[in-house]
Amino acid sequence: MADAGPQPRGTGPGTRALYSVAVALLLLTVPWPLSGAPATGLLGLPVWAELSLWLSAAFALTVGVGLGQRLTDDSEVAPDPADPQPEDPA
Amino acid sequence: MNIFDTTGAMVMGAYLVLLVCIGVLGRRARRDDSLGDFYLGGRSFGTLVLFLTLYATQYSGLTLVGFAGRAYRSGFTFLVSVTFGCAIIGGYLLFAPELRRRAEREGYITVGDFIQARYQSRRLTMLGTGVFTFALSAYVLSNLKAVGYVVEAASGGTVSFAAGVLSLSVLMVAYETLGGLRAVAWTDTLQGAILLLGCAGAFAAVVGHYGLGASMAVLAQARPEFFELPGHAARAGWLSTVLLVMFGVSLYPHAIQRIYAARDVGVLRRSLRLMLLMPFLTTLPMILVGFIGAAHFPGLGRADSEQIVFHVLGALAQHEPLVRPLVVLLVCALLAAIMSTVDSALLAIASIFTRDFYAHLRPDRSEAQLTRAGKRFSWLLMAALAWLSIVLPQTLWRLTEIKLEVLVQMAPAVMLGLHLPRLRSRAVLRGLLLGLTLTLGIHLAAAYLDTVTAKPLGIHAGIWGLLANLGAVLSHNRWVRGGPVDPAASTGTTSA
Repeated sequence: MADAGPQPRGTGPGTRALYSVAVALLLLTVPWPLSGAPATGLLGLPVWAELSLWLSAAFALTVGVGLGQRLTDDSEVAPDPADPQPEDPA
Repeated sequence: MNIFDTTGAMVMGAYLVLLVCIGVLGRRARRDDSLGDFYLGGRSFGTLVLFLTLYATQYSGLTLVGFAGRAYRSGFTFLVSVTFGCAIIGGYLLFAPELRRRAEREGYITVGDFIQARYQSRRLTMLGTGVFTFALSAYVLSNLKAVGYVVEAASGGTVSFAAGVLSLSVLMVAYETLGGLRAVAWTDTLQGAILLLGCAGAFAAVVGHYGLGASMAVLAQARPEFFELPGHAARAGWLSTVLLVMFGVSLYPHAIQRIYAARDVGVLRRSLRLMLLMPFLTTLPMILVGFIGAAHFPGLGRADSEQIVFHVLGALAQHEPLVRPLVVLLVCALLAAIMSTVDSALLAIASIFTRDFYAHLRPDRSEAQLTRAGKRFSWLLMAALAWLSIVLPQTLWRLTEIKLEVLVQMAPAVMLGLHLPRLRSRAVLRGLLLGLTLTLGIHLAAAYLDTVTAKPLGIHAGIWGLLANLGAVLSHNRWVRGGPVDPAASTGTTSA
């Protein structure tokens, strides 16, 4: 089996999963009809509004802690062939 | 209300003098007269400076006062501002880390440098920089107008709109041309700290006096419509606004300039993480003040509701003397927010003029000569924009309101260009032209035809334009055969 080599930055399965979670959370912030929900939430705002706020916070967490770390991690990128490589000790 | 009494005037005067001193310090700290040192601060910004300059630049006076007014009028649907505040950082992460790496490797100064290097098309670069310049100029114009109104209102009419615009314009261009991005970022650091303090102080005073839960109970009686679930059009508008701001605001050239100026990618990551907290520490408190204002100060018209923060604090100051210094701090914070946005946008336009236009016209000029030309251009540009902000007819102001819808059309060129090595300049150019034509066409039709709206199906014209733009780019690119066209891809340094 051929060696796939290092994964290019931002295309690993973990990163793709985080992208999907972030997009889903962003879409879910749109106010949705919530039948049977109480009128107001923890802050006294309507539940649909508070839910949007909490989902925004969850989006911020996913982006800040998850994606931000992966996309700025230089160790994940394939080495540049133009860069001088260390000599093989053998 | 006149906050420019003896103490207020002294505080304001000290703040303005401090800005010029920072400009002088920025000049002394310069390493050379290169464009990289003047426009990118020598690419040396650490986490705190980068975070505060991004914060002060992104959060304009609109955030501080305009958002509270919108919350007062629109109700809880304006919580979308917290969501789009977070989404902007999501937008940055789609391109900023990779762009930062290329900028360091290839010495970019402007976003135009990236477009030229990536697509090797002078036509696309010129059109792109035209779009960026239009968006930035409109941004400066609307913020200069806000400066005039704030100074006039805060001085109780003692200082006129025109005098406020002209005096602060001179001050801003002075410290900007003294120390370049280094001075602007250092003043932003001060301005960002004042902005954060002003928001926190205003929120604590208002919530401490009125109480959040109690105000929401009053609001449920006074404005029951706020509590109703938004209809389909409002929900479509929510999503459209989030997308527009996410792909538009993250592309402002003054924000990209700061991405280039980060010392390394780790600094960028830490700054963006801190930025993710700001919608919850700045935007949310201000719009909660707007909701509290709607509960206790009902019946204000549009113009009065724009001042709701000052109405609420003004009423509080009559009962609690300690609130008066807070009003002074808030006016300082408001001016700080506007000035930090204007100076950054002005510097970005000057860099575009110097690097993307003047340097191509006069290739024989040294970096020091180009830097000096950029400074002269800044003075001329500020004079022109200050004059326009005073005399521009209301009909032309409409143009400045669609800046984000125009700017967002550059998203495929920048964001896809970094991640799709086979994306070709011709596809991007066609998509951009289609997106711009559709966006402006919908706005023109809405201006002259009663049956057409600027938000068909509740979606901004700019988002319809972006969808058409994206469709054209991807479909055209699919038909065109050929190898990778991203020069960086041939060296294996791009992210696929």
